[in-house]
Amino acid sequence: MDYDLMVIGAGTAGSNAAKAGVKMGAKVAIVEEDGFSGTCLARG
Amino acid sequence: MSTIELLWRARQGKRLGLTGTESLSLDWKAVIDRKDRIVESWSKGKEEDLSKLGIAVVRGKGRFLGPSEVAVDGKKLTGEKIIIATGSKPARPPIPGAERGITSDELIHLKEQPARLVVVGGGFIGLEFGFALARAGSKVTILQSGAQIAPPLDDEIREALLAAAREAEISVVTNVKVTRIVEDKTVEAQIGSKAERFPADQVLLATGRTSNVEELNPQSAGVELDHSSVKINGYLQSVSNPRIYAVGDAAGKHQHTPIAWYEGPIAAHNAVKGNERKTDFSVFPSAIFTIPSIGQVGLTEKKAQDRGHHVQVSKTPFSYNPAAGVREETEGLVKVVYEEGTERILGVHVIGAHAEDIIQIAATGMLGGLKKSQFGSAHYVFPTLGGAIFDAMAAS
Repeated sequence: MDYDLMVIGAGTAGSNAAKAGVKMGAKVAIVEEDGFSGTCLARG
Repeated sequence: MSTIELLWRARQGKRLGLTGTESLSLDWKAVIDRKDRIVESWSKGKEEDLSKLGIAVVRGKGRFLGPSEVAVDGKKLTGEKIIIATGSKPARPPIPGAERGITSDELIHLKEQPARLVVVGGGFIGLEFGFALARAGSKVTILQSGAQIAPPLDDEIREALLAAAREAEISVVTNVKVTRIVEDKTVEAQIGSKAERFPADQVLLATGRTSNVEELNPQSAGVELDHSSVKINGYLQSVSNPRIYAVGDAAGKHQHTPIAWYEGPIAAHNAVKGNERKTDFSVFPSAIFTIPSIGQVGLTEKKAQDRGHHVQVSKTPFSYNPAAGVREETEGLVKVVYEEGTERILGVHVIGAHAEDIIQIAATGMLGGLKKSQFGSAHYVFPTLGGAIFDAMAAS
């Protein structure tokens, strides 16, 4: 396995999940095609 | 929304002894530009922040190849556990001519304010944008397919919202079946046996949001969906593939940003350390940013009755609140739904200025298990709008 934890989507939920993952010592990747904030923040 | 509310209240400045405020107007382009700058500043640096923490940031569109394999722009990556956090987007209803309408994502990028806005959908998003545009001076019509707008609202709060809509000169039409959006953006509809036409400069499609999960090709990973979201258990884990978790709008049910903050770390914990943490939404406050806004937590009066509680209700109108009186923000009310005998607070509903903030007081009290009379005898700062919560708790 390349990673312990892969997160798809770097919005609010994804970014927080990835941060929590590294804090626990996991090897983490995050995949994002667009921007780096959540729907509500980025879209009003 | 806050800018438009400020405009609306400032225009009524005469009542407070201010002069010249009636002629205040809104520079649509400047407001949209400012919104874009704020969003930009929030997003800035987020990618670097993640990299600095040691997270591998992979740019590209992800697609499942198998139960633990994801292709990102042709490159194959594998993960012991995978969290789906792909969010949602506004749904486009299957109406002929729907491509002539715009979604909320597009509305907030319009270069010009539409003079006439027809909103298809009387749910929270349709109401929020309907109120904002109406307060900003557009002529707004909201078309709802069902018999009621915003069905999850408490009935009395809905009545108050409808009164506010009338005052804002929003035309709310229910039991509407939209049949077509024609070339000049006129919305054609059937109301009972009558055909009606609603001319518009823009048509906002506000018929809900769908999760983006389907674009990931979830079948290849054996991920079962519930509507468009991942079907999950109480640990945010896919019921059909235990290696996969879902959070935020991808997990469905509650589409609110705080849920995304809350669920992210829980899913990560369960994925890395095993299923130890369950989600708990027993006390979950939420707001609707209409003008005036609405805050709610817990059960509506009707829902509490349906669940078999012996329901009692106490209320305080904003007009009884001295802070609201001083500010001339007297439209609105606080309603408390509680259980007879035990005085357990089952739900609190607020419509009025700053309802989105005021409701947090009620939610915190509910989380702490305060009985209605305990809450009602607590000390609070006077005169404040939040005092209306305590007054409603003290009322019988």
